[in-house]
Amino acid sequence: MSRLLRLYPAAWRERYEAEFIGTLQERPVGLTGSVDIFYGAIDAHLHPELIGGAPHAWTHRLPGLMATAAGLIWSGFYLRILLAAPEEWGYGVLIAMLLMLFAVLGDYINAYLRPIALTICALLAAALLAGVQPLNVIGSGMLNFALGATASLLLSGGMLTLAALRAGVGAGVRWLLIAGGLLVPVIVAIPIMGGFGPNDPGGAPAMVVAILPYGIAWTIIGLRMTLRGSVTIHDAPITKPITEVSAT
Amino acid sequence: MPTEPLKVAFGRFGETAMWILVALTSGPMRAARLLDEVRRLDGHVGPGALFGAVARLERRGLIQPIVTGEGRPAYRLAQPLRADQVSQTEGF
Repeated sequence: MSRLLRLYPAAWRERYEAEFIGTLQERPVGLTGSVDIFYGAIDAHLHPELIGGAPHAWTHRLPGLMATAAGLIWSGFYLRILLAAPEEWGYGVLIAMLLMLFAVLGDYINAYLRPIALTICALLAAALLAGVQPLNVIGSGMLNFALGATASLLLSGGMLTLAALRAGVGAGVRWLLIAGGLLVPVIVAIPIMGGFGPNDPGGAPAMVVAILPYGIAWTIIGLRMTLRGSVTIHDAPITKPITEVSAT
Repeated sequence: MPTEPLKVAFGRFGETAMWILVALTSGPMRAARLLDEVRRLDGHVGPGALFGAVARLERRGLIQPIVTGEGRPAYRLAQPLRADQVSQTEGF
């Protein structure tokens, strides 16, 4: 039960965790109590000012909401492919990618404008040189395929990492999300897409296996970013919360 | 001290917060005992709601954390309840 307390913000746990665990040991709770603790954790994230943090402006929720929407659109789009197997790509992925980009930028655009611009230009140049489109990495030759896949992986992984950093996800969970949401699915799906598996080469199931987890990872990160708050490009950068000294 | 009713100031935690204040009028209490008292006064209240209300009351300076003689954390009223605060319980 005390594992649920990990859902609370670190500052909140520092103040109340020991007392909370003591209370749970003396008064164990069931399923309803667990739900109540879960709601309490959401409330603690929504109101950091209760434990001395700076209150969030509503604009701080925007990046997280965009990331969540991107993850949901992405996941929904690939689920639709899996269930209905439509031929057309549609605009779902494009919209999701734009939302991801806007969610990731935030105050990074102020602090890291030059490296971001250089990275994007380098990736675009690599994609152009390889003659591949970012959304369709399977070119005619192996070199095209390798360059396109590498560029797509770097771009996707980089954006997911930046989003996870903005959401305050710890290093361990961050790597877990990148591995589970991107690296492992792609490694599993590439041979299938290349025609080495039992499925239709490049068919919908292989595509979904490779790409759907990425949307799920974005949804998880987006929800955390929404709860935790993350500044937009129009807000001042986040400063460390002021610790209140209270007399007892 | 807030001038607006706790029900308005604390939203869904207002009722629990009010009963915490009422319970603490009988003296300092640890969180587990406080949970029992609030449940007795208000029906089912979970620990998440209890600590949410405690954090709000503490933030507003209405209750204070203390350490009991056994070295365990507890809470007490920062100052006696005002008449208007007591009358708020009638609204619940």
